[in-house]
Amino acid sequence: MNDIVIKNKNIISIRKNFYLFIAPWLIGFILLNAIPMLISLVMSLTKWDMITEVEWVGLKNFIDIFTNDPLFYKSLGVTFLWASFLPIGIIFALFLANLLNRKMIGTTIFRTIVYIPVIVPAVANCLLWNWMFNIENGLLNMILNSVGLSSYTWLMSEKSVMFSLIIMSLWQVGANVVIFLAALQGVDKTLIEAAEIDGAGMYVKYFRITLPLISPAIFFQLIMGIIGALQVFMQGQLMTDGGPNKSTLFYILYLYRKAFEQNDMGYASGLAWILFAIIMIITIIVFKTIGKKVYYEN
Amino acid sequence: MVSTKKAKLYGDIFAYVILIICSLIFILPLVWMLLTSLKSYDENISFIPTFLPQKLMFENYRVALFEFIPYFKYFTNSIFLVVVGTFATVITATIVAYGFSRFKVKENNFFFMILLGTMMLPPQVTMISSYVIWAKLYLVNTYVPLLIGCFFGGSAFYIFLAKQFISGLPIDYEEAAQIDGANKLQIFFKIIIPLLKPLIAAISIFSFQSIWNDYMGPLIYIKDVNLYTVAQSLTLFDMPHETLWGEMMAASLVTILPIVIIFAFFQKYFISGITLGGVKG
Repeated sequence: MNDIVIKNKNIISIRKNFYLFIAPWLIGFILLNAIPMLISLVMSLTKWDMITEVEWVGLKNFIDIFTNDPLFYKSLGVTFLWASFLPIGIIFALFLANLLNRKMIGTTIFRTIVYIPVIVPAVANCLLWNWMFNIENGLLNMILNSVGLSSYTWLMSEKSVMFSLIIMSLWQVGANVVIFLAALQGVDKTLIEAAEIDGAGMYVKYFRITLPLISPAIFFQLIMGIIGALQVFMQGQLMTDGGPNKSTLFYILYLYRKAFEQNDMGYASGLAWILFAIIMIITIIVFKTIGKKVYYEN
Repeated sequence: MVSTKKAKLYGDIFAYVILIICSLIFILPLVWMLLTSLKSYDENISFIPTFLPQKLMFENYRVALFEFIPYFKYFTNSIFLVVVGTFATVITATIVAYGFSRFKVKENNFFFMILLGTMMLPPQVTMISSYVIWAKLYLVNTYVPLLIGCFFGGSAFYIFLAKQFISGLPIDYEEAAQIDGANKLQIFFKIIIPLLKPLIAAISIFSFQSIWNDYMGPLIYIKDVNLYTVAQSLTLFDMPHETLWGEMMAASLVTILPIVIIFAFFQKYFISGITLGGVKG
């Protein structure tokens, strides 16, 4: 009898402490996530410019977005195109991480150099590459001209702008490289040595042992990469102004303009919820398909 | 045995060649940034582009930092945000993480799943309504909207990181302290915090970098040019009819410096932070 009372008292005190400690997050979650999400959901059913009266329009925003907004489809297509190049970055990062994981003199220096571009603030990065891509005075065309090639259009043509932005994003591949490096260093060496004794070649060692062991890192980067790529914004805002001819009007850029330049708050909230739904659906699909192939030690 | 040694040698040569080429390519844009910052306006936009500056224009730095914009005012603004934000994040994220890792009540897991779920939530879903709320509270053009999240654990990622770390600590000290009559908050501040140095260093780097580099937040909330952050101020060199490339690159380089210093100091903690991030599954 007494034991139960003490036990109950204990659980109550544990529970009290639990809520005491997680309170900062829980309050923040309610005030900064849950309530704004609810308001945003309600706002998506209204027409409002923040000045005049709020007008209740039901599902009209969503109907307009899906049936009467070519820019919605354009920006979605542009954003998907951008996200579809994600594997290039991941493969390149994995390739570099493997080289940097070798036991050689000087790898620390190479690791530092590969990572340096990552610490450049995103705004400075956009401005720098804008200048690198400059048609008349940029470094890239200067290099092309110096080896006898003619100048390239880079950001100025619909055909080359996406390609240019991908090159720029590869410059910051170091962010992915460090994660792969950490994963590669966690690979149990004895497994590889055992395979060696069994006569496994380089190909088998890498693709049958190392790769499955680091597959959680690959999967993690894929998920975070997809979520990040669908939210691409700054390059469009700072470098291309969504152009040329709307070819870099990324989804968030379109949403930002609707909300903060045209003050169409209800419509923009609708766009945000559609993006949320798209991210959820894609994440679930990736988890159900690729996620099943990921190897977990435990 | 000989053949594996040979294979290793060829592999090393291949790796060196690729790494040297890549390193040169990775460094080149930063070299270009430095060279541009030292060229005159006319030289930067001349019809015959030059790689090396004809005359070193250290003048650009003076103009960029003291004349064209009040750079150090923006620098101070950003330092203020970073210091307050990082401090608040470190304290609250570790407190919350301690709660999740040490008090195993049955709803613990439920809340932790919600926490992880918020990592998937695109910030745009709450961006517009949050803006409306802050506008109604007349707090646009203040740092409140930019900093408030830091007082509630920063981001879910930091809490996740901290929980991984704290769960790996032995519980003996805490039990001993409890027998001595210390309450949970005393235990947290006297015993846990001193054990968290590597974790705090890792969170500080991530938080410093994300606040220093933030663009979307200031873009939406800070319209008053006096309150601009340093990242925001770089765009001021890009004017409608001309861009002051030399001065812009000079200011950009100065903006990178604090991050370089932070990384140089805390490099080893940063790597341990990434390993903690759970990439091993």
